[in-house]
Amino acid sequence: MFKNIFRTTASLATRSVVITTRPTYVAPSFIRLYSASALNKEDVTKRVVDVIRKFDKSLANSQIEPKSLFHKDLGLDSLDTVELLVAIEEEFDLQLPDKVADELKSVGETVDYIISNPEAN
Amino acid sequence: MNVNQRALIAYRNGLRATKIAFNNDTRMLISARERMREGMINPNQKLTKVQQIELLEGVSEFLRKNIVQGKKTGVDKDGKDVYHLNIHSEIELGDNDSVKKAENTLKASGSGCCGGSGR
Repeated sequence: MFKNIFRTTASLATRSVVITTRPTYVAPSFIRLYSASALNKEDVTKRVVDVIRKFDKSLANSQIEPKSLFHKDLGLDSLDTVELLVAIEEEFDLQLPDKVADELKSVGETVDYIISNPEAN
Repeated sequence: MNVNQRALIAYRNGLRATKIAFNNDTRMLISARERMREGMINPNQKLTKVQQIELLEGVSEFLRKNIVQGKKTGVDKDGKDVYHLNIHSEIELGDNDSVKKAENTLKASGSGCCGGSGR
């Protein structure tokens, strides 16, 4: 099984070499599709924090950490939290089940859920 | 599930529905979402809470199924505008055959108009 994977990546690699000679073609999307666990914690955290900063101007320069709570630390009310989670869904192209979304209270919990979700990208 | 939770879930589904209906049309998307938030903060007080939630759920369903986004893509050879209609998978599609069937039933019953039973 692993052999097959290597073979695919190898052929992809040779292909992308050919592709990169053409400057108009954007190759990186290929790499993303084939990497086993596409998302790492650091990247996801950064993207989640970016979404939060864009979401509310008053949070643009504030300290946002994994342990930050939406309500207590970021001052978001229940409507804001719903809006923020929808913005995060759109960023990662996934849909949070209602049960999960109701339980997410902090940046870190959200990041962990996204990493555990195979649909996220 | 209590009413507050249900309201928030309805709001979440409403926001998702605006994205489906107005994707890439930022102006409409933002204004639809502002309107929806406004409705959450100042709902129609003549309705009960449950009715308010049902109203929002109805709006969401309408946005998903009955709003077709058209985008001008150019002009045809006669100079008329050409639009691309985004009829996505959730859009409710009418079935012309069912229209004909309804007509037949009306005729067959031989009754008057307006749903009268003809008795």
